[in-house]
Amino acid sequence: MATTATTGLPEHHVAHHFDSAQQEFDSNKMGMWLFLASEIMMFGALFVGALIFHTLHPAAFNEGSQHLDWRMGTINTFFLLTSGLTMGLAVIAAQSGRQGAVRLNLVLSILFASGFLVVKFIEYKLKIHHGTLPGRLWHGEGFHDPYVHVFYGLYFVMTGLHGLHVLIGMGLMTWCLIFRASSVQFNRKYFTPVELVALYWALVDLIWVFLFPLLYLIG
Amino acid sequence: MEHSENELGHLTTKNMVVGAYVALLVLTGVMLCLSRLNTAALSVDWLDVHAIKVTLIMLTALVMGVIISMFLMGLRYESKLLNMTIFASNFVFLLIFVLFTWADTSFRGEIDPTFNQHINFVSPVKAEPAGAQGHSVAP
Repeated sequence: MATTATTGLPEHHVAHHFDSAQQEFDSNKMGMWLFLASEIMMFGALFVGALIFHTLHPAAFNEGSQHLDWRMGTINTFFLLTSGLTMGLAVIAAQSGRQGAVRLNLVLSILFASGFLVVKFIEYKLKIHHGTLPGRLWHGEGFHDPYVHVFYGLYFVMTGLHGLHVLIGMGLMTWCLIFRASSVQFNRKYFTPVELVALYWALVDLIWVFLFPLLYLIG
Repeated sequence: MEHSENELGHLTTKNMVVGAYVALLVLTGVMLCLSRLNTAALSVDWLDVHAIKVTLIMLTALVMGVIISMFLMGLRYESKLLNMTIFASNFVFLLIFVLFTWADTSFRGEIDPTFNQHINFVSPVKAEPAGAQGHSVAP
């Protein structure tokens, strides 16, 4: 088995059912794009739901939005964008075969993603305290518009589903860090796991970039 | 784009990733500044300033989305026709979905006022009494 001089890790072997490394890479990437397209469809349906209710009850959305802390949303945007940067740097490191830099950037991405979840946890805790929960769990008081519960229903479903994606993304980064970065040498010929996790993570960023203004800013 | 046997995909560069990151941070700042604008003070009769503000904020988000997909996801360098087709068809579907829903919910009954008497688009959820505690909100 061929190994590299710098890390001593074995090089990746193209799976037997592929003709070449190029075909393997292209197939993997196309599968990922199809999956990302289905993700965009799923979130798209929720965004359309938000659009309908926003059109029907603009005052409720305004009132609900004002009870969200835009500063926490901004901190979370910073965390996600920065983790997007470190994932991009991890791809660059993987392409140039710098295994240590891949590990470092993956760890940084996981840390920033954790920061996002900590802020989200604080926000959820406040919302639970105020009773602004979705559906039948709603027991919020002191609101003027009778439809504010619709805004919070959408808020919990959309940020909850996005938060689940953050959690899954962190799991994928950890998998990349523990299993892939220590068992195979990344280089210009093989960096697929880091590339695909970075693609997934960019989608998580992409969705948040629309969620943040929709829920926190426009009201 | 043809690749040699030893080169897979597009080579991501540091300038590209860092440039996209800086642009995204700046645009987040722009979005925040826009949202802090007091439209009530700027309000004029013939112009819906709030609607313009909301449109500008969402357009900024759209630009951020384009930067993420083009540079961080590398769509700009995605040479494979198939992957571009997946993304483009997905985007077109979403555009039709959003635009038609928006047009329907916003303008239903406006062209023919009597039409609204027959098909009135009402909220599918019940209103929660203001200040209510522990009530069901199911329709």
